[in-house]
Amino acid sequence: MRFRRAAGWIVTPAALGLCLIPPVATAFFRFLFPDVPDHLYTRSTMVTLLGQHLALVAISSLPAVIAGIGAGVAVTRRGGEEFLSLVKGAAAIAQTFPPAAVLALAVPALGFGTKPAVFALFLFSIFPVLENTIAGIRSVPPAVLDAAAGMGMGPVVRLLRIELPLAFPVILGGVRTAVVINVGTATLGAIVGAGGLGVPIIAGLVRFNPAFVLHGALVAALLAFVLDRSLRSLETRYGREA
Amino acid sequence: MIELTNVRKEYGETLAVEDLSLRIPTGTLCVLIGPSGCGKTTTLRMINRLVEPTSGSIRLDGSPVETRDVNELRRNIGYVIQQVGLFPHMTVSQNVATVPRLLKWDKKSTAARVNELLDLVGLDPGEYGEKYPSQLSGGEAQRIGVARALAADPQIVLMDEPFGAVDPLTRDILQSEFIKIQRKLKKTVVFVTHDIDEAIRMADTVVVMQEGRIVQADSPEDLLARPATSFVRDFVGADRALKRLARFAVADIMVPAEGLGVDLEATEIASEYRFPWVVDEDGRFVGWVDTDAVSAGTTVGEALHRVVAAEFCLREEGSVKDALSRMIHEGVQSLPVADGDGRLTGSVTLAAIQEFSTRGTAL
Amino acid sequence: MNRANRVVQALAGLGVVSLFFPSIVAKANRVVSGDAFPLWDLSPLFAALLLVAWVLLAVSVAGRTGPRVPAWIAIGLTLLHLLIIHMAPGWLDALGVTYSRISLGPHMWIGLFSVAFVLLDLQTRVRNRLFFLMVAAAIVTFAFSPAVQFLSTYLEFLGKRDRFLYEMGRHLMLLGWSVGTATVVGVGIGIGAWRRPILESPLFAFVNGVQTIPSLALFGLLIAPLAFLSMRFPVLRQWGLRGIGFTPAYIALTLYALLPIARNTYLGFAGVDPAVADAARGMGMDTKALFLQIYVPLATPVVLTGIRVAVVQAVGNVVVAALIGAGGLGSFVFQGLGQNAPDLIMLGVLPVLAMAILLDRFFAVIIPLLSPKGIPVQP
Repeated sequence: MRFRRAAGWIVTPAALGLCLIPPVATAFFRFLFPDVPDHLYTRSTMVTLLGQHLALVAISSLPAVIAGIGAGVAVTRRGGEEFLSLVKGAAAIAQTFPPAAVLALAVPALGFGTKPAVFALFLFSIFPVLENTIAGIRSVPPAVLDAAAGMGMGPVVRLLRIELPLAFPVILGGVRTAVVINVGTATLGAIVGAGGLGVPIIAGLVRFNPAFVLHGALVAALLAFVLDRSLRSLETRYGREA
Repeated sequence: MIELTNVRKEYGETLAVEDLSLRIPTGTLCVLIGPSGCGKTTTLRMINRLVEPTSGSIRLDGSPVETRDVNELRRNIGYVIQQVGLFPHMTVSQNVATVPRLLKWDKKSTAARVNELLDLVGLDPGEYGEKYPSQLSGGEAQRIGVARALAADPQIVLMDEPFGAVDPLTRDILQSEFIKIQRKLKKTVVFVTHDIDEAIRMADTVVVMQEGRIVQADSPEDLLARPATSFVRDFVGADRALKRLARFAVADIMVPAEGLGVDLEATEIASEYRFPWVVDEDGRFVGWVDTDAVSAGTTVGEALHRVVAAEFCLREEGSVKDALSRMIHEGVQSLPVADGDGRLTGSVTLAAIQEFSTRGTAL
Repeated sequence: MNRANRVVQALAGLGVVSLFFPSIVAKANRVVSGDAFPLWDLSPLFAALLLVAWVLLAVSVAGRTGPRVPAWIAIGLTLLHLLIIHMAPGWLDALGVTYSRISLGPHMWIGLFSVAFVLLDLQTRVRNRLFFLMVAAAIVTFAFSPAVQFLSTYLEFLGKRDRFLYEMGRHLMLLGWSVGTATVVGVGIGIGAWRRPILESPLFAFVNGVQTIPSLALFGLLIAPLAFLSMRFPVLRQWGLRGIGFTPAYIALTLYALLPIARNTYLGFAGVDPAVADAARGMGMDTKALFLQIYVPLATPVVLTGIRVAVVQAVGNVVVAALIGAGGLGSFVFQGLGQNAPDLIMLGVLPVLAMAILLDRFFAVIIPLLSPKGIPVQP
């Protein structure tokens, strides 16, 4: 079991690295698809595209996490409980929206480029964080909160010292879900001109070049894996401490 | 008859049951009791082969259980567990009808049998038949569990802490009712519990287990009177004399008594007691009187201390232990016994209880 | 209701704010971005009516009146918004604007969104079916308004009706085939993992892993080997297996639908109360009876919920499949993006949203019907 886990930590980044080194990648794709004219997407390097992709994910996820946790906390306070069912209803409806649709709808409003992509990604990643924040806070045993109040902890202190730390693993799970969805939706960002790893995939689809497609797809998939894995291990580490 | 011979169960390195031999006569209720992990539940589950013994043999009326088809075996043994395990997606009637359906009874007989059993456990078939388990209380669910186990009229019934999951009041009621059912049906019951009071109350034979072995197997009276080891003595509890008294009814030690009439004149009092009981013209208990306080010229009725018969008198089916407890509480040396209509039928004295306890026999 | 319903008041506030945004956009053709008109310019009367209605709504939930008054106001607001669409062509003509199509501006979207959520919130308090039938009726009558002819999205639809139906058909076909296959395989995986716990870890690692991969990337990853295979074995081409098109989409969509179904199947079967199983075995039920009469009925609602989740997700995933030539409503979305024609995008997006919501509601209704009675089912 430990061997498998160590293998995962070595293999995935290694594969990622190989994809990013041009000569290695070229050789690999030449081997797979000898008949294709170009083996490497040359408009920009993979590293650049990877950077763009990560930037998209980071810029949209960070505010989404803050907003999601903030809204989740607000709705679980005594003053905000009325909004809970509305927020849950909104979240349920939002989950049925396909990411591609939201991305497409953002364009008429915000034009092409990174703006609609970031906006759509932001909107999308709020909901998993929000839902998990609500679930995590609600899973804190009321007896614990009662004891804390009894010991003289005010509501803000209770939130920061008790509720959030105990809810943290669950919230982190929501963040992980949001980030993984973001990495996926960000690949579509290429369609609206936001760059990222979707660019070589689309280029490959348009020009019938499977090498481009595979290259972009591999890096995107590996990126998703690495992020998912690291966040999962963070989750288990905090879960154990809690 | 259930016969276990040299039964042994190992789980890897752990020995759950070691060299256990036991004979349970037909029509008796045998309780397996002991601390957690003593092997009582494992032993029970070997009888219907939910657990297979590592070695040794189990025979039912002479035929060994290993040779029979396991499902056919289980369909002919009743099985009741603590969490009941009612099928949540079936109605009460469907639950109770499970084994008859497995045995391919026809619909009419099954329906009739279901109604019969619901009546037996004290639930109205019309009201409960179509309910779902989620709509039942704990006590009701337990009764259905028992009904379900008895549906195909098995001779043997296995019960694993069946009344453990309900509150003490409900448990007491369920125990009384099961004792009545057992008296009527005379099944061969193997009953696992960790509650010594339950064991004493219900068992014909109590089997005390410790670490996979039988330490003592006796009737409840003998178990209480003569615990075999210090473990058994501690397990049974220091108040075993009182526990023993719980087994006996007031009817076993009462003596007939007569009350003085209400209208009796002071001069006519001929009681040997100072505080005799007083009854009305129908023989119903109304209270007691201090004979020294009845002055000349008055009747008993005027010096009478009235009490409510229902609260003050003992019932014949009540336990001797409860009678003793009342006497200590009231600070009296005797108490009257009345029947359901309130008529005085006898009395019980503290002295009689004491003598009974030491001598070990009823008068 | 003795406390003020702050949710509805907040939404009413949002409604008032929306009045400051443009209401109707008039365009000469599909590509031009058009002129935006706030409601005050088009019809001060209506703007005032709406303002009053929103304020009344906020006031009506502030105190002791029951939920019926706000409900009626909400219905009124819905009608007002629909009326605006109906009257808009007339207003634009009165202003002398030349246009060939109109579309809804931010005010309409925000306003309708707010009313929808007000209705949603009130629904939990007013349990009167009649109420919602009225709302539904209002929306339906709107479809007969002559103004509809001018609505840009509708015009797009008219222009492409045959193609729309074709792509809708392809969308549904991909949906059906992929979820259908995933149901068979996913239930198998779930039950397999339940019966042989050693399989649980690797099976779920695989299924979870697949979910992590971005959909476009998965489509891409499948194209390469399929293209390779179809080039090497021409006979496969004849059977319709190509690098792009239906095949990779079908495989990828099936893989995505596996996780919710497999996970819920496993949870459904493993979650059966062990006491129930013990009692059943102890009573002499053989393995087949135990499985069919106990496990299957009790696991059914959970499994069906997994299928529900898979279906709703799949509706969205199929949109991306258009990129690899599999067709579906996504083709309108991407075409619209390419031509910078928002109305075309809407032609793709609106049916997808409607399908997702309708399918979700459909499952919400039939899951309790297909599940055994007596066990609580989550809505």
